[in-house]
Amino acid sequence: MARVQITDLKKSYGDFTALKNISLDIASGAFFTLLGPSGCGKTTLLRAIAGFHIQDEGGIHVDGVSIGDKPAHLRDVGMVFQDYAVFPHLSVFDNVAFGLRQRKVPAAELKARVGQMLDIVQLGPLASRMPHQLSGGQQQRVGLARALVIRPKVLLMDEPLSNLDAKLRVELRRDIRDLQREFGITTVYVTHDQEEALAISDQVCVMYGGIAQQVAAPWDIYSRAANLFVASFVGSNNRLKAVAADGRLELAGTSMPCLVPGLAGPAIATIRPEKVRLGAGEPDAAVTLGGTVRHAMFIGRELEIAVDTGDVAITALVAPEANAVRLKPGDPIEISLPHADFALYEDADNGRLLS
Amino acid sequence: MTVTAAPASRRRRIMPLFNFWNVVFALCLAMIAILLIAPLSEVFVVGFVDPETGGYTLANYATVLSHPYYLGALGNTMLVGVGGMAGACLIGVPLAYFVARFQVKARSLISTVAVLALVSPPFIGAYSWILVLGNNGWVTRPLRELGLAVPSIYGTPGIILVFTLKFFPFVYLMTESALRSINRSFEEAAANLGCSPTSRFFRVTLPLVFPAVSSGAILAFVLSIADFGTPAIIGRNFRTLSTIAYNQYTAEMGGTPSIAVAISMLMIFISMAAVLLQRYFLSKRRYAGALTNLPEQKPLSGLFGVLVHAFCYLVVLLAALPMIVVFYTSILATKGPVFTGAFGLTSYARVWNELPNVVGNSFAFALAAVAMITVTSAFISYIVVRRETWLSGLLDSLLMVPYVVPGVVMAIGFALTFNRPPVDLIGTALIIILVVFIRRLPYGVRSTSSILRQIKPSIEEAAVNLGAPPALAFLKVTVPIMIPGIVVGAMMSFITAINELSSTLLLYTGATATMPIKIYSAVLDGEFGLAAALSTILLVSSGICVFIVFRLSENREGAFV
Repeated sequence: MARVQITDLKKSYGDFTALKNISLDIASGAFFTLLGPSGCGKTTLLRAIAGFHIQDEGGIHVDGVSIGDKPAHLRDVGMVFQDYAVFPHLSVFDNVAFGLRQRKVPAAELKARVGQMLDIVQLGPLASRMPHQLSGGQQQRVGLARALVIRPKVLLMDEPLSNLDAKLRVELRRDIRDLQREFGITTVYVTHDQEEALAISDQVCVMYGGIAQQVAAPWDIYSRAANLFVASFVGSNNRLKAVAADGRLELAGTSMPCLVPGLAGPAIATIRPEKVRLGAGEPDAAVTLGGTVRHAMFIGRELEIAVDTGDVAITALVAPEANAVRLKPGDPIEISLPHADFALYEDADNGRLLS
Repeated sequence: MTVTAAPASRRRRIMPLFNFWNVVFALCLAMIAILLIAPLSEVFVVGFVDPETGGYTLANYATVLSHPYYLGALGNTMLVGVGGMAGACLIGVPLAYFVARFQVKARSLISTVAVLALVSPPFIGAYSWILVLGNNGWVTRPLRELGLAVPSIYGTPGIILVFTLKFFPFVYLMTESALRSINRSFEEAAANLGCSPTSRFFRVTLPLVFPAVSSGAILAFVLSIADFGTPAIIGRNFRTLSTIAYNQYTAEMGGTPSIAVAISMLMIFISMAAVLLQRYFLSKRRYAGALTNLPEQKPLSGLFGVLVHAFCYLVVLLAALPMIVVFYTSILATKGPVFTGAFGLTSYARVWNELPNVVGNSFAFALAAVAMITVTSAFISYIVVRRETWLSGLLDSLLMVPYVVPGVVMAIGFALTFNRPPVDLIGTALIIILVVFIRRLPYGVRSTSSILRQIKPSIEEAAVNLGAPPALAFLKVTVPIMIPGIVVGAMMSFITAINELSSTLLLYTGATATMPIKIYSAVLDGEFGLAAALSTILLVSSGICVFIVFRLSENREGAFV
């Protein structure tokens, strides 16, 4: 159990700024995920916590103790690697025992702890195997056991599931979350997979351009994205240009009441595809637009329909009911966008949420 | 709790300067500076010194670049360099194509002989061919008795023949592995577009393997122009830059070897130009090998099959001939320098009785150099592969230098640098070990680097993360995984170290003579039996190393090029 504080962390490589004044406060026992596209700085941040990159400025504290200038091998933070990094010349048992041997744990205790940990990750029977005899999923379980057995204050995970196939990923993701809860260990998890981030985390930090864009619980990230980047990176979103004046909002050639009081001038309105409905809506509760179907794709469970409304292209995600499945490119169509499901952002590069 | 970070970050800037890897890095740079930069700078400077007055002058270069004696040697060097390269390509490329694309029988015999030819010292090839095709050779004599005139083996044709058979394995091994990893679809697409098999080879396949062919060819060229033993033994009055640099140096002994040095610089310049030219061509072509959809090997039949096999086995026979000749000669009984006509182990007995120290020297020097190379290359390759700073890039580039510096030149540099206190090493065993060490270090580094590149950095980070300090993480995790590569590197270094002649010949004294030096002088004295016995010992030692490398590396022949 440990609280992790990151204060004003900066890191640059030549002209490229990888981290710009990152400050985070991660509660003890939290599952905290860094989510973002490649190059956003999430791995740099994780590796700075592990001590593999030394930050230019700023501090890293675990339970109030500064670890920011300790060498990596003295930091006592467990790490699970994207490519497993299971030592190929050591057996499963010796891999898991490696950290305990560094800590001079007595032989009997070492044996007990390693055995217990291997049972927890369901690798007990494979203790004497060599890594090349294991599947990717099993290797990553070794990686996990190896990091947990030293009872670190903090567990760091760098895209641990990205080299596994889809089904195994979901299974191991559940196991990781269960183990993390059981151990109550503060975990910092890096991923570029938004579904994974939303599914597994207590808190998600969306990163972009070396900046923490938003830190919030998964549902808040999805439903109240703090800015346009988060709004389009997490889930998909429709964007419409809008102009606010006198309590009304003009968009896509129609008008609706403006939900943000006192707003005037241009803004960006977003609405999630699953909120878009087929057919005309109630005039005082939704905006109704006419257009033509550009394509309709059945993607399993849902139907994705792209609609050309003249001014803007809108994507709708609807249940695959008979009338929707019959739609062909070029068919005329009416869609409605409920007023309450719009979110409004500043009309700027990565504009902020207006509320 | 209060969170302050500023003082910590300032302390951090000073501390890492003295961490394990920075210290290792500094030691490596210092070693390179002393053993590589200093001797070569010395060579460079002396080239501009007037031996009479001690002042600076361009006259040495003017002499070398205008006097017919030197220009003739320059022309000869280019002639045998280009000839050796062309010969290596003419044999190597077709052999590679046949072996890679057809079901040639006894493929492993072909590659094994190629590798053995590669690791055997070139001067053995030179004197074997004298035994076969020389004035009194096994083939020449009976033919002459039949009244048939055999063209002389001495001079240009002999040197080019020896270089061709010695260096074709580079072209063959590199090209063959490239041919096997071309995506089959390229050739199929060409066929589909109406390209005949022959024009497909010249217009698609050959351009695609050009990088490999040219790498092998340049290696053949650089080694040909640097080789000393072959022209010295089979050249008779044929002078190359290598031989005149050696002669000039021995003639100038005691004075300032300005002319020898000017010749040396010219040799470095030519090698460098060749390597840079090849890099320039390669920079425009970059093809990744395919991992799937590899070309298949077609069955052979009919006349074409017979011809292909005849070609392959003829090459194998010619390449193996020096080894066969050497072994056969070594078991002929001798009386003094004269063969009695019977079989016997007298030559080995002479080695045992008269030259035990020479054999001992060879093994002791080679083992010492290899031990140093092994340890140093493990550290250097770690720095070069794992640290991407301009300094590690510089280290990497500096390690290219020994590839293009001929052994004679390196030896002159050593003789000029370590000839006075505080480091007077002239006549010591150490100077021989050090010159072999620096000359062969790049081969060791290449071998360990290539395996280190396959080891993910995360493996070591995992060890550090689990509490191992960086030095311990390297020793406990990285080194064990590197072992096969390190052993392969050590074997390769041993082969080149024990066969070294061109640099040691300039630096040895009676007490520090090695087998190659003794073979060279024995051949000049007409002691062919003694030379053959020593050569056989060298070949067997090299062969054992080759066997170990074959057992340890996944890509058997690939380890040698």
